[in-house]
Amino acid sequence: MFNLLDPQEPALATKASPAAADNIASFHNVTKVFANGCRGLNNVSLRIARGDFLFITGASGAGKSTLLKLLYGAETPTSGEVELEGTALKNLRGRALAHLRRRVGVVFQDYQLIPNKTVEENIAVVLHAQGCDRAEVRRRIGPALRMVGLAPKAGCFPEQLSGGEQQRVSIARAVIHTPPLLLADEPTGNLDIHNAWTVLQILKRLHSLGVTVVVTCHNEQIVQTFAKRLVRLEAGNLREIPIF
Amino acid sequence: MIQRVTTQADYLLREAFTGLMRSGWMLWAAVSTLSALLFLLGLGLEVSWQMESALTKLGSQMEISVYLEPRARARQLEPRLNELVGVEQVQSTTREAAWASLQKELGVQGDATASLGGNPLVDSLRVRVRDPHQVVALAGQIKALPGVERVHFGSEAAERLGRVQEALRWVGIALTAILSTATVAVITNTIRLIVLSRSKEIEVMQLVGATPLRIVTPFIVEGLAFGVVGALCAWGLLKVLGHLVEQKRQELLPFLEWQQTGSETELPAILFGVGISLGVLSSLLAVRRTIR
Repeated sequence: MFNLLDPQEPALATKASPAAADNIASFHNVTKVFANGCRGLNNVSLRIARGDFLFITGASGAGKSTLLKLLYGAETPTSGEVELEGTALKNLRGRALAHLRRRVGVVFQDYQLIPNKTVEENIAVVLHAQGCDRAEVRRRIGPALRMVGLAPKAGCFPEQLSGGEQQRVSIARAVIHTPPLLLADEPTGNLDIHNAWTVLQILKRLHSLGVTVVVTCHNEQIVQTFAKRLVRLEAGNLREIPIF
Repeated sequence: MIQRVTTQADYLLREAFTGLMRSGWMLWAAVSTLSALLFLLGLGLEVSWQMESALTKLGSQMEISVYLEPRARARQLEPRLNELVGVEQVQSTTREAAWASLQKELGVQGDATASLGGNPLVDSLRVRVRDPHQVVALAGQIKALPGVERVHFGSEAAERLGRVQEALRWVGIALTAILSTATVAVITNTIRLIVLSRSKEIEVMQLVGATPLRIVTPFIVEGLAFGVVGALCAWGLLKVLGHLVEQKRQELLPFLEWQQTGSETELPAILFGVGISLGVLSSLLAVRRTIR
């Protein structure tokens, strides 16, 4: 139903080195200091393997969102190197960065849906942005909506949906272009426990289909239930937590 | 390849059309400003062409008469006049020929030369000028030559017309510059408002891998559409105005002939060219931050 690695997807400009073949993304001694002098990350090194279901926990302001932003090129490291599928993100701009972002799906805590577009149109934005024609858009929308259980609400606007439903639209939008890596920044942060559970079940299902999933979350109960691998950020420092 | 082009065109036109529909009254602010600018530009051009044509006709009859000092000879001065820039033709008349002609015209019998104590006339030259704007300057240059006593040049009306045309040209350039700046400012702000109202969408598109070119191209198409619609309105207004003026002329000034100036396509080509350039320039200014 859901073809995760579309053969039509454009190849990246730089090929992955053999050593990095098993890692979908990696951080090498990454430090991020913001313009106001605030230190977001401190000498962080992390390897994310293909097929990982990685949870990043930590208090607010610990650097979780910064870590994800570095992965999709919304932030640049002050020092160190971030690689995605073997391609260094440093100095990537414009077209090259756009093509790399097509390999990543992002789910935001505040959904980031376009208010004057319907559910269907919000999801289609991704495919239009990547140059798909109308037939291809129609072909892909149905399965994505069914996967998140929102097929009957395809024509609704975001304001007509609950928070949980909006987050599911956000997930559908993040995976419609079949990226191998899905980043979810506090996807359950604004949801009640029932909706949070539903959202995580969808992420788990996507993981079972082969998508590498990285989730930031501060809810210990959710982390204990779903995490297959866990790292904790404390004041910009990263620590791997063993799962038993 | 063809499918890719049609997909891109479909996307661009759809996005541009949606953007235009959402811009509401700002769309009309931009189009009407552009139409007003292009209308004035077209009007200025048409008036300038008409005056140019009238002046050229007048200028073809325009000559400078040069009268020499009694001892100077026209044959000696003629080569120097031919060397002057702007001189089309020089025709010299010797005092002997002029005197003979005058006597013949007046019907003088007998030897008037002896009774007057010699030929009272001087050698003269008639200088035909290529460009009516140069008459005054050339007359000044000729007057300064040795051996020249007086110069006369024809129609003062033509000279005044030349000055009016020159003044009008400068006023036109100044007006076009001011209105162009205002138009670029209005359209830039209009498109910037459209960009702002769609900032969320642009942000999402950037995050999901849309290239900068793909994001900004619909806005450029919108600017181009402003230009085309503005030029169409201006051209239509000029056509209507031209028709009304022609009707009135036939009623009131039937002896005056409307000059056919330029080719049929020259004015619309200029209007569309300027309109599209200003529209696209404004769009580029509005979205330049997004392109980076």
